[in-house]
Amino acid sequence: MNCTLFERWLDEGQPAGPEAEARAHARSCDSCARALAAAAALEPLLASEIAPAPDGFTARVMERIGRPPALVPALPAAGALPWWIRAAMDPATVLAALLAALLAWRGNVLWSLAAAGAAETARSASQALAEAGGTALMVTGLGLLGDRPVQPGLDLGLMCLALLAVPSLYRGTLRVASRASSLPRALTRA
Amino acid sequence: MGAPAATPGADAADVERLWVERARAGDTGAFRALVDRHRDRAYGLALRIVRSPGDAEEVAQDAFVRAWRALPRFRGDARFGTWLHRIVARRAFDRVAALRSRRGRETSLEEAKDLAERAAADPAPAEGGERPRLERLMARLSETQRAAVTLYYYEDRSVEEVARILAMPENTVKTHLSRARAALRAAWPREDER
Repeated sequence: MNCTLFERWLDEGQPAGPEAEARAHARSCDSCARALAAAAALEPLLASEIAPAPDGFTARVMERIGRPPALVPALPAAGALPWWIRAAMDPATVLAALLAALLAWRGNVLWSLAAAGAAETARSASQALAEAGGTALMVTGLGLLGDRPVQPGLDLGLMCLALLAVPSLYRGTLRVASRASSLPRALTRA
Repeated sequence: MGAPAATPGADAADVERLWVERARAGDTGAFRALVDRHRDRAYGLALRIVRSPGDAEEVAQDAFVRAWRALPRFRGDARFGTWLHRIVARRAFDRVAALRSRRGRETSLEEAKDLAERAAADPAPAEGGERPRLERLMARLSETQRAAVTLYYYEDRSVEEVARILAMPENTVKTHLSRARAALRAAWPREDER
């Protein structure tokens, strides 16, 4: 056995197989003999008691298990989080990311759906007004809504309406989020 | 409520199984007996990993409280001690990670000194001044190496059990043990020469 194999034998916890050969090597090598002596001194120490639990440990555990579990938020306080996590958790970021993902994934389909929806709404409105006996002028005017030149304008209007709805959705999300975060504190106080 | 009396002839494992069964049914006396039996080892393992007596006590207490709450889900496939040590190790690693992120360093010199002084103050005449020296050397290891060494030597667990407790493959445990042995052995004569 050489010094490298001897070191490996020590590192592996002195397995029984090559023990006689390893000890024979240590008798003829000073550095390996010192390593063996160090291992012999260390192993009983590693097995010895570390430190007893402090006085009153059991009583404190028993006192704690008697208490109802504290209702605390699973996440740390928002201030303790890095800025990029706080930004990612913001409802506006989530909404923006969702919209962007939808547009990137199915932009064409969304546009076609919006256009089809607008055309159908215009057609129904025109029909309903005609049946209600509106003036010929109104019928003619509304009839144009389904026409190709009017379509882009209508679509644009619907897009504007959708954009206006986003802040309301954002404020609603914020209200829900603030209620959800204040609930555990209220329960803890109760 | 006191700890349930052991049946004559029952061995320690049977008694512990009985305590676990009763504790699962909500018997706090039986759980107190389990805490009494395992507290020193749970605290010792936590102390070796977190290196601070205050944090170690918090970790060990927290582990017992979690064990109590999770007892109804404890299936008894593993021994209570193995299960408890897994909770202690996980909590201790979490604590080390939290401390590290807070302070930006692994261990505090003051804590290592505190632990060494505590160990020196502890009456252990047969070991003389070697224990504080060992604790100083242990502080140089990573927390995973300290946990593996403590479970293997102090808890007298097999590599397989250590792997189960630390939730890592057996070969990884062997590597941690091997590196820890090499590091401790290499530092031991140098400490001796001082």
